[in-house]
Amino acid sequence: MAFRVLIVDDSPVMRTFIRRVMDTSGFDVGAYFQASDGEEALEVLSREWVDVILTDINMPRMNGEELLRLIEERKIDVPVVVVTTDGTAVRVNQMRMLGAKGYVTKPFAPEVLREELERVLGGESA
Amino acid sequence: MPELDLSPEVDLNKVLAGAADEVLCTMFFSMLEEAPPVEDAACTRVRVGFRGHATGTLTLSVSPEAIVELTANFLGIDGEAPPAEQEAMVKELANMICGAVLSRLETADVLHLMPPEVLAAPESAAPQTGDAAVDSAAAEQLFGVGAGFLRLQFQWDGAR
Repeated sequence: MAFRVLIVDDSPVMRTFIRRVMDTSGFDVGAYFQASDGEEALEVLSREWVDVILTDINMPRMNGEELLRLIEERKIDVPVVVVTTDGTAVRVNQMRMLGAKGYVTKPFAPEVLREELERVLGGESA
Repeated sequence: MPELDLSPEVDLNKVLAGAADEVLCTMFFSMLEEAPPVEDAACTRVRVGFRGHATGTLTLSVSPEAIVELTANFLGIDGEAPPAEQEAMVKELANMICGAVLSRLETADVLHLMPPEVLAAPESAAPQTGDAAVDSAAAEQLFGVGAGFLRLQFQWDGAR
């Protein structure tokens, strides 16, 4: 099964980095979609289906926290993995309460992201 | 009352060095080295602010040689990346180091990172320390990276 992945981050180089990690980790990715904030992500989700969303928290216009809220509110059934610099316990708990299925703190080794994605996607990858 | 753990036992310089080392090793595949005497004039400077129950900034200055090497390592490319990608890399590097510093100073409440901003001109003033009125603290570290260097200045301004 080829996954369809949405990467949400205001940093274009971070989007490239995540994509490179997935490409070199053995994931069968059929399509990548990218968004630079929550609003763009919702636009993508309105016209494309994806298997997983990887999102930063701190972004302009609409941050990852608000994106998670709206995904829950609109009952969009896609697992979200938060990929962010904030590794404090309070922030991790907050994001999980909002519905995040996974959490990866930057900086991360490639295998950390791969393992978290495998867990969230139910072992259907790599 | 600020809840950031800046007790006397916390060595901010060690925290800064540890955070930078972790970020550089893990995602930029680069080692921090002792830096020779350097001139910051040609550096790209980025500042990341944070706010919440405390406020502060991290300012990162990166030499052109280090930018080329770090961008190539981060993006997995040979040669020199376009200037826009180099600038985006410096912003992301500053963002990650600031986040790593704050994570090491595990807080009881969320601190929000502000978007990284490129600074137009060199800043001559060193971080200020010891202002009891605002309960401030600061640290500065300089590291060699390949043929270049980077400088980190961390300023915590206490509770808002």
